[in-house]
Amino acid sequence: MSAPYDNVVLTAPVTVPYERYSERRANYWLGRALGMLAKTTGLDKKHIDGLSVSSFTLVPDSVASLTQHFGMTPRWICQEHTGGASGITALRKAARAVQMGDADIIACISGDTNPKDGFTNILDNFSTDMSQAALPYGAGGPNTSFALITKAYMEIYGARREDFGKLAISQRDNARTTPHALMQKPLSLDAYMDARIISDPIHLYDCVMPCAGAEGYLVMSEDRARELGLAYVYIRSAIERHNAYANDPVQLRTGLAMDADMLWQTAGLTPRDIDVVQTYDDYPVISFLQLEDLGFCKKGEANIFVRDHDFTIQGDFPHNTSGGQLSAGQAGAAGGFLGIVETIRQLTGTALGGQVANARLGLVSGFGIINYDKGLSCAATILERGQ
Amino acid sequence: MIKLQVCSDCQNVHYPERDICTSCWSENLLWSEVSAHGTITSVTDLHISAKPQWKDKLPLRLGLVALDAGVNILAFLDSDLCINDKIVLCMDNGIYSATLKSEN
Ligand SMILES: [Zn+2]
Repeated sequence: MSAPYDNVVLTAPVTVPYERYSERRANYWLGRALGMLAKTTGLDKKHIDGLSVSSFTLVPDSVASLTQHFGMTPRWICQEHTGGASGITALRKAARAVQMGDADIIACISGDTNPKDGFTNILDNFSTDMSQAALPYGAGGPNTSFALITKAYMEIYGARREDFGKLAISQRDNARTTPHALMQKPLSLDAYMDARIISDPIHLYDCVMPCAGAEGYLVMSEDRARELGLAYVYIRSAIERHNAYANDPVQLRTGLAMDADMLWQTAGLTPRDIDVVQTYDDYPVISFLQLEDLGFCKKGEANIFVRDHDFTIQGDFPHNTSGGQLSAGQAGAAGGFLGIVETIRQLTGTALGGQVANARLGLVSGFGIINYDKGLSCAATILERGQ
Repeated sequence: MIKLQVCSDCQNVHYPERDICTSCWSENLLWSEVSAHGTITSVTDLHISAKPQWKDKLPLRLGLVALDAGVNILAFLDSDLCINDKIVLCMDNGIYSATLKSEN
């Protein structure tokens, strides 16, 4: 069991409103997130002495070059390359750095730009395995990899497209309360089922819309957050794991399954205690895997769990309450921050859209870096409203 | 048979290409012949490509193959192949495709 995250908190959730396309650099989107962090907290930027960055389109720049772009002189920097898990892997490192005194206030930011040809560029430069073992097969990108996972999952566990549809539709309902969500039109089950086929069994509304945008939050001591008068959340527990179950022929479980027991034990909580859940939803099946691997239901039974619960903000299992990436859009690596930022808002009573009543405990999980057949990184954290 | 990287020290088979053995971290990886037999573990018909050069060839039937030698390979499939089918993999210019294993 890892040491508790005492006297360290997350605060100041910010979102730079998403745009479908942008010809600006990633530097712009990341810089806007920093600007919003300073503005919403009233902090002078010289007090932010740590910087953690997650971005796919920042290359050839890095977090070190960004310090010059942003006129910062931090004593702690970190760059996350875990994509959909980066919001949580960033907080794990930043929280420890603050606890140990290596930095006082760390800005964790993530953002990407999305020029018209942006997505093809990300694919071409994603990884050597993707270039060698996936893209030559029709260049379907992640749609191919996730279609294969979804197909095997449906065949083995009996999930139906309607089950994935219910998740997507609930998230659209949630998105419609969230001002910056890109997709605001109601989604019906008929529209979901009849959508254009992308890579069987993946259809249009199983896919996220790539966009530009950024997300961010601050990590600091509880004392500091109090002094500044900021609403904050505690980290009750946090796990990450990479390249788990490497010999599985198809990815029907994530590395979360390896560490879920420790996640709950460290927090002294069970899945029933959680008031609001955010999973990484680049495709609905991945949310299903996370719900199972984290113990909200048994392996292969997420379809039943989804049928039995109401995943909307006012439902009995509020999930992806800002619409998730499926409805808010996927601003590159910022998709891995969406869940953290939204959970800080929900637990501090500052939701931009629908607020879950009396939310005290939230769980966030992330999943990222699909190389050619499997997503390699996963992480989860349990957060609690600060007193 | 197809050629894949096999570790001279522990016989671990690799795909995609590796620089050191993923099992024992030996640098002695040799391109060697391994069985081309495997089983299809998932399939998809790809209708949308990120690259224009594929436009005229869509949809494409693709599948994930669990090779008996112990690696997973994404491959083009004959159109009638399904999950659990036993297949033979062949490689042309670095690109893999799978056909049904004949019964004998
Ligand atoms: Zn070896």
